[in-house]
Amino acid sequence: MILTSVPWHVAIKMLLEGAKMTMILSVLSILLGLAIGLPVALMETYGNKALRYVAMVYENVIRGIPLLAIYFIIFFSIPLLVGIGLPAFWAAVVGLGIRSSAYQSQIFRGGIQAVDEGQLEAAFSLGMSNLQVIRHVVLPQALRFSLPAWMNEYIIVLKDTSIALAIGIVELTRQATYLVSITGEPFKYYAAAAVIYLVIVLSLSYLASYVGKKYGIRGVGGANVRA
Amino acid sequence: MPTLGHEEETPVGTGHRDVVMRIENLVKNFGKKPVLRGVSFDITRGETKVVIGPSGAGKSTMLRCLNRLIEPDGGKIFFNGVNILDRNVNIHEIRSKIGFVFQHFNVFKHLTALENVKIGLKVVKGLSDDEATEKAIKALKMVHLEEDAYDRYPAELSGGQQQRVAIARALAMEPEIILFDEPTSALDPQLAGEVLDVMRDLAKKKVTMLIVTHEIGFALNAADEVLFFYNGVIWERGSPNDILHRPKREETKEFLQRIADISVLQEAER
Repeated sequence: MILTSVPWHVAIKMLLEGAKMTMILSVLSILLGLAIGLPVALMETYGNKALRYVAMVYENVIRGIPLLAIYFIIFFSIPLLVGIGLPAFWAAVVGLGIRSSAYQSQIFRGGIQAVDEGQLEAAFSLGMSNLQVIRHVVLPQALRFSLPAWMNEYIIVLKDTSIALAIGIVELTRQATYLVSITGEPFKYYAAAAVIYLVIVLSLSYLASYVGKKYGIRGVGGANVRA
Repeated sequence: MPTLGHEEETPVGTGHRDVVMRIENLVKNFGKKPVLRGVSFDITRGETKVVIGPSGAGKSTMLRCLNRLIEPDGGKIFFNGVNILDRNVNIHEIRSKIGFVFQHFNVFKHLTALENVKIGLKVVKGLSDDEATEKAIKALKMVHLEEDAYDRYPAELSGGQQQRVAIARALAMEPEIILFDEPTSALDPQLAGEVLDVMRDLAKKKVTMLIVTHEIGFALNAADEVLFFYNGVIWERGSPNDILHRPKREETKEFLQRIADISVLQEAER
């Protein structure tokens, strides 16, 4: 085996490119998870029996499948079944987003249930419709209650983007692995990748506590966030 | 010939007496347990009616049936002549005309005092922000909320202030009647006093009110009529003086005695 050495600035550039993909992937995935998870949580809390059942089954099935298996199903199995598939990047976003939606729905369900029954009674007695109550009273409070756990979920999603290397996404871990394979220096490059992950996660935690303080309201939670 | 006006009156009541709400034979069961067993009474415009009675008598349930926060199992509730239990009634619209004040205030925790009063005006009545602010401030003045409290969140307000915000929130909607569910039970006597003063004010201004309360003193000097609830029915009713000073039935006497004992105890503790 012939090993090459890589100049440090090239290595850093490669790692940062990977980190950029990691960020993009994680943001799109968490947003997709939000777009699915929040309605699922509302279905589970306020839906009729059938909707609650559908939501419950969805949550449990998705949470029961390993992320790697979800990726393989989306990227390899579904194209075989239907003839067309998603490009690797979108397969990664969809896989991670769907997986996260099942966890986010649990987070939001907790937040929704933390809204006091009396708040709903007061909103209804003003003459608000169901949707108005959800929009103007339930969500503003439930989202604040959910914020700490939601930021935590984002950090988990961010770290789990590394699994996307299995379907060929060039993200941070993939770049580190590539560098290791051509230089034979596993400690150096994996450590560098780990430091980059850590910096991103710590910055996010800081951002989360800032958001918590800025939008938190005494008595409605959301003020304390920890990674 | 009927006019196109939306304030068309359906004839209900005894003619010239202006009945805002007529409750007929109201029935509610929780599972197999009857809570309301046929309650009937009228609320006249401008009247302050007080409901007293032991816990479990069905007072709160009755109140919640009147704007269908709880669905009754039987009977009729006429609001301006319309039976609000009819299927084709728009209950949201009816509720916007019936104020409700809760025992535990239930002011919206994520909104400031001012925003709490504005939200119904904006979301339900569709008022502009400026119009809503103007009406909200008017309502907050009526409940004597201190101006520096307008921009505070409920967690930063005393219980008495929160309850006054809740009353302002109801008032601002310009309802035809306000229902009060033990509005001072969660407050210590001093803060309860603030709230009772506001309610006395409203009674003088002839705001139509139906009030469930244990405040006998308030009932004596502000109520037009007192209903004593017992066992899911109106056990005894009459003028405040008659019910509170000269009750006819044994259960009413017993209840008033117990209330008196409690307030003597509270007095002694202080």
